[in-house]
Parts: sequence; structure tokens; C-alpha cells
Amino acid sequence: MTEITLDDVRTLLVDNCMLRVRPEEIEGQTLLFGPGSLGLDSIDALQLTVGIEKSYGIAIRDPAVAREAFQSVKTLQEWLSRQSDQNPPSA
Amino acid sequence: MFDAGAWLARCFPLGVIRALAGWAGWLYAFTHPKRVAVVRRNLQLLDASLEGKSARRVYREFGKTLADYFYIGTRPPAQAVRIITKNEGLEHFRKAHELGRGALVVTAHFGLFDLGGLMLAQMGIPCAVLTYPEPSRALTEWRTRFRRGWDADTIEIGADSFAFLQIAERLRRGHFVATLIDRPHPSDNTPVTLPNGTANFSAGILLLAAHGGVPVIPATMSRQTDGAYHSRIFPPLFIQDRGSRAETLRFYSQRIADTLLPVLCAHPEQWYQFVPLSP
Repeated sequence: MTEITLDDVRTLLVDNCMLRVRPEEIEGQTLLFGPGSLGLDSIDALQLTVGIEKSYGIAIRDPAVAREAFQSVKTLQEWLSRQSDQNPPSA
Repeated sequence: MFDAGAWLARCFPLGVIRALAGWAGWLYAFTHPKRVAVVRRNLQLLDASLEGKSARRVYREFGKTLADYFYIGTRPPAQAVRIITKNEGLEHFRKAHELGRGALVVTAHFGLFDLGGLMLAQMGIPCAVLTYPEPSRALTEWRTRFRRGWDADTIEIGADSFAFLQIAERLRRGHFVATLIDRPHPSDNTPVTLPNGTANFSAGILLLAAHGGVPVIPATMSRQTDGAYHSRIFPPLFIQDRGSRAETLRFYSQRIADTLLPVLCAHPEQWYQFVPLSP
């Protein structure tokens, strides 16, 4: 299984989202949206999906898939790892 | 109330229901001075000399616009679209359609903007209108069905952070997506400078256009003195990165505002802004 690390996800978040916390404060269990979360909004979500497509070649089309994958840093990390296995980057 | 409006539009000539609705709007304004004061403050963002009389006129014009809305929704689309008698810039729609990337049509809560969807459908261009949820689910569904009558779809946006994926999908299919730029969501807005103050405009959707290379086309649909409508379609903008997300959104929101402002200032009585606009 392709390993997407917590640092990879942190980098994605820092590069694409307007964060109100320092990157080192982002932990696996940190939620992305809603109360007690990183406080991402719909524009961050848009930027994040574009960032994922650019970095990993994984296009997100289905809102239900996005809602599930983007629950927390950990769910995003796991989802990205699974998707990377299914869509390995071309050499 | 909306069913009653549609029934009246089916039973009576447009001139009659328009006159009735105009008077109803005037009566509403006369009996709701606090709401008129909000509209006056919004109008003064365009022109400091506009007073309460102009604000009351907004309600009267809004009544007439509702009458027209019911009219176009209760007539065959080919007949309804003839309420537009003057078009400027239709070639911008045609060229964008040929480009095949879809287009983001940005307008204001001004005139009868819904006519744009009818016009696009009659041109053979698939169109979806972005809306926030109405005060009730029943009304949201009623308006969705009403728009479908002239082949315009509705995409409801609101609290869902991933609604943009539906919009992106439409654009990918080459559809046009129409949105109001002066009805921002509280979490998605950027200040723009108007002639006499500042207002928040919706902005985030422009990023979606930027990522897909989608043309952004400002447009207005205003009622003329003879009651017919005048469409103005302005040249497309292609969103380029301005160094930061905030600056990109600010710059292009202002460009769009500057494009729409001459029409808004020429017909302030058709700018239907009933809640405070200033930050």
C-alpha cells in the first residue's frame, strides 16, 4: 500500500487552505470541518480537492465521497493512500 | 402565495397583474418603513442622493418583477422569451458555448435575472441556477419545478462545503451556471467598492472558474419603460492568479462589480436588496 504520511497531508492542508493553526498542531484526529475542527470552509474544500488532483492525480467528483474522505486528517490520509494504490502515478 | 401568483398569471393579462403587483409592492413599502430604510441605505451605496421615495419604488418594481416571473413561468418558453426585446452581447454566450468549458454567468439580484436561464435554454445552452435554500423546503421545490418549466436546472447551495463539486460537474459537461454575486454566503464574501461605500460580494465561486479555465460572463436583465426586457451580456473574464487567493478574489469581484455598476446605477429601482449590504 502506498503510504501517504501525516506530513504529506499537513503539507496539502498548509499549501491549499487558510489555516488558523500552526501545521505542527495538526494531528491525525483533527477534524477538518465544523466545531472543534481546523475550521475549513467551502473555498478551502475546493482548493484542497484541486491540490489533491495536482499532487496525486486523484480527481474527486462525488460530494458523498468527499464528505467521507474529508472528515479528519486521518480519514483523508487513509483515503489518499487507498486511492494512490488504485491510481498509481504514471512513470 | 406562489401558487396564487401563478394562478393569477394564467388568468389575467400581464398588464393587469403587473399593475396589481406594483400597487401591492407600494402598499407593502408604505406599511414597512423600517424595511424601506434598509433598502434606502443599500441604494445610497450607488448614489447618495437616493432617498426613501426611491426605496419605496424598489418595492413597487419588485412587485412588477414578481408578476413577470409568474408570467414567464406560466407561458410556453418560446412565447415567454419574447418579453426580451433587446439584446446586447449575445455573441459572448455563443462563443463561450462553442469553447465547451461551460461558463459562469454572474449577475446581481437585479431586474428579472431568472429570464437569463430561459434565454439560455432557448439558445440551446444547458443552464443551472445556483440558489440558497428558500425559507421553506416546499418553496425551494416549487421554485425548482418552476424553473424546470423553462429548462433551467437548480443547484441548491448552502451549508454543504462540497456543493461546488456539483457545480464543477456541470461546468465539465459544458453547461452554464448562473449565480448572484451580490448575495454572498456569510463564510464566502469579499468587500467591493461601490460609488458611495462598500458591500460584500460573493467570491469563492470565481476560484472554481479559475481552476477550470471557465469564462466568467457578467450579465444583467433589466426592465425597460415599455415593460419589455433588455439583456446585456458583457465580455468574459478569465480568472488569473493574482499572487494570493484573497487578492485574486478581491480583484475579480471588483472587476465584476465595476462591469455591472453602470446598469445598476441606471436602474437602481430594480436592484432588489432587502437586507443590509454593508459589512
